[in-house]
Amino acid sequence: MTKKTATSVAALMAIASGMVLAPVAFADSSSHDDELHTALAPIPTSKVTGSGTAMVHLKGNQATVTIKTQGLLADAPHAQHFHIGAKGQCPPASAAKQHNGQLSLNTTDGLPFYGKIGASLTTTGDTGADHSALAVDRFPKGSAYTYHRTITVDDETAKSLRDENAVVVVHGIDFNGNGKYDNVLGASDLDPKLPSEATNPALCGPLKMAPAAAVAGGMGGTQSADTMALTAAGGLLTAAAGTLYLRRRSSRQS
Amino acid sequence: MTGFRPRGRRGAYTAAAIAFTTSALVVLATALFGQHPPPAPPDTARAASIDEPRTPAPRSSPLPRSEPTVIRIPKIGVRTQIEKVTRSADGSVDMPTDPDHVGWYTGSVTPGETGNTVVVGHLDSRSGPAAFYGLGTLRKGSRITVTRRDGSTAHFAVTAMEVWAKDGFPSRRVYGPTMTPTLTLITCADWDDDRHTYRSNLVITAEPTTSPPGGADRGF
Ligand SMILES: [Cu+2]
Repeated sequence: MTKKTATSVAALMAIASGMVLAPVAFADSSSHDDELHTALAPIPTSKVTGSGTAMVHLKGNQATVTIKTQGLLADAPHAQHFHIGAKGQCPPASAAKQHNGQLSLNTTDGLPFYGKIGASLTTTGDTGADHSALAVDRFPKGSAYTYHRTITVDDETAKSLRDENAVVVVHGIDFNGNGKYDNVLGASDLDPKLPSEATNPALCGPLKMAPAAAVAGGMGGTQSADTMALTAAGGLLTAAAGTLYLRRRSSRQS
Repeated sequence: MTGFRPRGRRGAYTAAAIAFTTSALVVLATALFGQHPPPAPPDTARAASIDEPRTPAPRSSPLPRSEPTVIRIPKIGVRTQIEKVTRSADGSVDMPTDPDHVGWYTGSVTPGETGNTVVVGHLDSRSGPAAFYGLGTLRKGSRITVTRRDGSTAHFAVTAMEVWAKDGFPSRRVYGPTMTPTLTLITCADWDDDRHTYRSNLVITAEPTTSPPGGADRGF
């Protein structure tokens, strides 16, 4: 059946029977908690091939954070933060600059996209932006880890999370693939005592609200076919009667 | 003369009358017993358990971010525009305004990027089949390609099909982020005659694959 026919038959049906086919929507008013999530993808030019996922359950200023990673530099600490207050995006390759003669992207290069630090996702103790941003002894270590902690975030960070403007950034790369943080890219833009490899962004993901229900992906136009089919059948029977009439005429003539 | 061979006009009219009557009976039978339901997904789509982890994706390098424009699913003759859709008031994902289009959820990654790309589509509109009407006939290995704004194409093959009831829908599993590029297609399933709504969602998972040799999807 062509679309047009189906449409007009259905339109007639709807008028004739006053059928209501619209699916019923149920509002979810069970809680005011917010759930955010993101995939963590390698920062362009970082030579990182790993990836990860991040989930944040936000209740007031309490954020329960789960981060999973794979493919990072082994046996090395990886600083990780909520970044806030910029575009809520991860930097594209075009944000990379020459550092120590190498096209790469340090933490400062990404600031116009992911913004400043809103919270430090440490394993223990303080999670503040100022005092714990580079607390290398309190960040997860290794190539693949699972981080799970409930922390209290400040109002600005909570608002940024709810506005889908916060970004998870995991730091620490091995640009020259020698298995350790060294000075191939010079000193860190955040702390000249650390190599840039130790603080450069490795994985990044903008946190977005997680959908929380099935979709309403149908209106039933192919299900309420009874009347449509009856109409079509009626038409075909009329056609049959018509041809039988022609057949009689034809046989009379022959 | 062997068998039935209508001769001349009279024979032709007889054949036509029989054909019309047979068609009418078939249509009636369909109306009474089968209606015009969309193709059903395989029974294995209902066998999955919530705890079963998704199969790990084959290694392939992810694409940079670029928004999708057109989706093609050769097996079911789908070649349509991709609209942008956002979260709906009930927390789910909104549907595309044109039922012949599909919707890319802008809160998910772009196709081919690391992560889970969510694309939704209507099974039917108020008047007939919509973009994802034939989704139930896809099988593991069926190809899906997505053209992106930067001119590149992301190639996927179906790896899983699952039907989930709307009550107790596993949102985290369906919408949650993934470590590798993943394409999730969602439409409705299981018509409820009494409530005049669909009871379930059909969820198709696809993972990156290489483009077919000789560009078999070309021209579609
Ligand atoms: Cu950071």
